[in-house]
Amino acid sequence: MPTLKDIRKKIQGVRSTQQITKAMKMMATVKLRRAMDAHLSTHLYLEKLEQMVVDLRTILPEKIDHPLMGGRPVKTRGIVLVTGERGLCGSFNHDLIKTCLRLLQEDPTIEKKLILIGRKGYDHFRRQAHAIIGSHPDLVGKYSQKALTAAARNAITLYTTGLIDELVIVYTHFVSTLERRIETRILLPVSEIGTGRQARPPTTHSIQFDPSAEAILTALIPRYIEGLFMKAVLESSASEQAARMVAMDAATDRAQEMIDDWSMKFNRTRQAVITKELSEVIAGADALAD
Amino acid sequence: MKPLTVALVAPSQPLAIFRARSLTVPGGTGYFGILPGREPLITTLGLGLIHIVEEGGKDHWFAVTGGFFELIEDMATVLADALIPGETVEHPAHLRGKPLYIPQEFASEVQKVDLARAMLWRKLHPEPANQS
Repeated sequence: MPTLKDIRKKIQGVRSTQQITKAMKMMATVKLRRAMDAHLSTHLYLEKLEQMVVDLRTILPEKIDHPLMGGRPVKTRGIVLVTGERGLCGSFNHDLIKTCLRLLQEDPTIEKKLILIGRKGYDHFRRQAHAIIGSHPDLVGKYSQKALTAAARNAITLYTTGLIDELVIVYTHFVSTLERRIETRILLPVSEIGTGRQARPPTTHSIQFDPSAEAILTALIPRYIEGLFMKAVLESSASEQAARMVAMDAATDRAQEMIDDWSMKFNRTRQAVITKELSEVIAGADALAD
Repeated sequence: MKPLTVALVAPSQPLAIFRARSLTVPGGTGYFGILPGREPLITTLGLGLIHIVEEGGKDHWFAVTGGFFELIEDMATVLADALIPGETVEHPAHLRGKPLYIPQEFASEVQKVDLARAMLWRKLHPEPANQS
């Protein structure tokens, strides 16, 4: 049976763990808000780009010939895996790695190459026999627009130079703080942009294009892919923080339950010690009286 | 005259909206000014400075590294690759006292952002004229 000292030590240990989980939850909440703001503005940017592409496609009737559209027979597939920067966020990283492993095992005739974003994915795959053609372990935690753009452009260059024939991204779609979903999306080649989106009604004046509608559309498509890439990283970052917030909240609650249980045990033990001492004193007094 | 509504949108940066009486943007083929009532326009943007004169006359400066510009029925939208607001700009230390010229087509995104920051800083903090 544990002594009072043992129980007191145990309670102190759990209490300090609870302080850590509480602090981590608060940090995750702040980081989540930052990631959400960045994600929302990127979402707005993509919406506007998409609308511009749809409007231009209606003006240009013929099929556009763009190096990022159309596609070619797939011999090599590039897989961009966006994981978290660290653990303590439930099954967040594990689920992503599992999805990526499933993609790696699919269709053995196609060679697969990995682009790893986030430290957890990098730590998992770096010692394995998979071909890694790009890694950005710190991009999710310390993202900046410059670094995100550079990573997106590197991935596009791999496709345009023919090193890969298809680019797939595996990331976590942020639904809400409590809900997230793993998404697998083909980034390149671009199949269709803005499916289901309506073109803007024609204006009373004709639109002037500088330099030309074709040139603008040609420049828009790579930006759209960069935007999708950034959105995926930012969404994953928001999802990771949300997952950590929920996990740390649960850990804090569990620590409180443990503290309550041990406090109860502590009180019972203390009561038993007092009762025992009292009965010993009474028994001693009785013996002296006899 | 009805003012222009100017929306500045950039990935991972907060949206900025202004009611403006004039706007100057760095188009892909050179700077151009926009006044209310102008014909619709869609163009690419180059590296340069955006100048917005608000309805009340207040000036706002931003630097962009590239992007797209759309003007439809007095609603101007700037879709910037990277947007640097004048209020928070700092001069990149390595470009201090150096001429600001890197051919845009050869500049990396990092170089472009530094160049845009330096251009904006120098516009907002002009060096005093030589006294001699």
